[in-house]
Amino acid sequence: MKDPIRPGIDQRMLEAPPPRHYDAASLFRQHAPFVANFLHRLGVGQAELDDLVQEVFLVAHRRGGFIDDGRARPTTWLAEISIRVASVARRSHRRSREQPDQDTVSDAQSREIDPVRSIETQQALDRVQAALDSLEPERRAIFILFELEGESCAAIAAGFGIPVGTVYSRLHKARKQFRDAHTRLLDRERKPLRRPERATVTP
Amino acid sequence: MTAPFTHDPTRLLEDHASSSLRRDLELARAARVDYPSDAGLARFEATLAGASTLPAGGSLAGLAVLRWFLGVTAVLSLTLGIAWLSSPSPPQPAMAVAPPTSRIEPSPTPLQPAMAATSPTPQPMPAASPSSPLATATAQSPPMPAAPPSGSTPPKPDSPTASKPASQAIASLDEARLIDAARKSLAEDPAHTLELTEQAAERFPAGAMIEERRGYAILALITLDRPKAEQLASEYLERWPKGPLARRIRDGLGIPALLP
Repeated sequence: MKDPIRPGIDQRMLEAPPPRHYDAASLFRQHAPFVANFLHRLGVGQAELDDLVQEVFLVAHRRGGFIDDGRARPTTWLAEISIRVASVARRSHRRSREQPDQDTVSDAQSREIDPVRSIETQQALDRVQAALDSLEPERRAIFILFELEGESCAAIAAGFGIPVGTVYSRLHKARKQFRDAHTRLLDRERKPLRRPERATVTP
Repeated sequence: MTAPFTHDPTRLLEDHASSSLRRDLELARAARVDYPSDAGLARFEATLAGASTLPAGGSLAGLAVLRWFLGVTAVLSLTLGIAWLSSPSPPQPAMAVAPPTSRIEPSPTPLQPAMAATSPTPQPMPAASPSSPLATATAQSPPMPAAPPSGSTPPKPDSPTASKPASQAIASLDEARLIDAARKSLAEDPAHTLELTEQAAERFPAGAMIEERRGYAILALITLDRPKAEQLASEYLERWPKGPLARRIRDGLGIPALLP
């Protein structure tokens, strides 16, 4: 049920329990893995991942922690901080990776017994990350939160401090870009791998 | 519809039109970074206990400015001190070497904003209300001149330019140390930060770090007295809209960022 005065804010959200405060340490205990994953999906490498996770929660600490008033969620709030921290880190280091450190992910989740399946999983992760890398940072963040982290558009809007319509718009564009990139990557993989070399050898 | 509260679009994971995309996304969703939360939390708590504070928003600009300022001021005071002690007669040419920026050099001309407070004319930025700690601080008397080093010869009457820059450089160094201490205590003890900024305002009303002093005071007031912080922030951001602390103040008060 939508609030007629504030579109995008659901009436049930307004009937949420009283605001609750989370300090940075409790946020860290509950959401450090989420922040690490989110930063990684934004393109942060393993070498600087822990530093940036620390930085995100230090910013959260300086902001006085998170007040859960039923609109934004701690994860979307931390995601907004993570985007800023990752952006500053990217500018500071003057580098942006083409591919994130997939070894980190594969070590964690892809302990497949079947080596063929493991390779397929790795290829799938590479495709998703390459398609994510093709998105602009703002769209990428919204895409990750909605599609991979399961956040609602209203929670993303509240966490980022933008209208929910903007979230819909950015998400729509991000999905189209992501789909196109993913299709291109699949098509490229299906093509014969040795074709360029043959062309150079044959007169 | 997956989200219970909104009319969100169908997630791609539930889009049956593209099986390969769905499969890849399912794998990506299941993939998690193996982050050592316990070790990370221990480090985080140790950082908080040590009151190590980097500027908010991830920016290192404020810290870099402070470090740069401390370094330059230390070198400057050392150079001036040596030259002053080793000159029995009128100052050497080296004494006339200016510091790299006008911000470090306390210029005697009334055109410098930092020196305007000592002149009869009011400051360009109107101070806060009389009850404001900043207003109280800026209304204080001029700083006490730093005492010359013990055992050294007193300044000669015919070389006032030699002793003045040296004492000013020492004062600048003290001011920078005070502001740095205020910065360090901000995360753990904002009241102490406020106290230190007031102390800095009393000792160095026309100091070279007015912007930092007022900025950290506002950041402390965000925690202690938000309405006062909002009141002071509007004046601060009007005067230093792109300063190194402006972004933190905007973030802390939820003020929209400047358009590029």
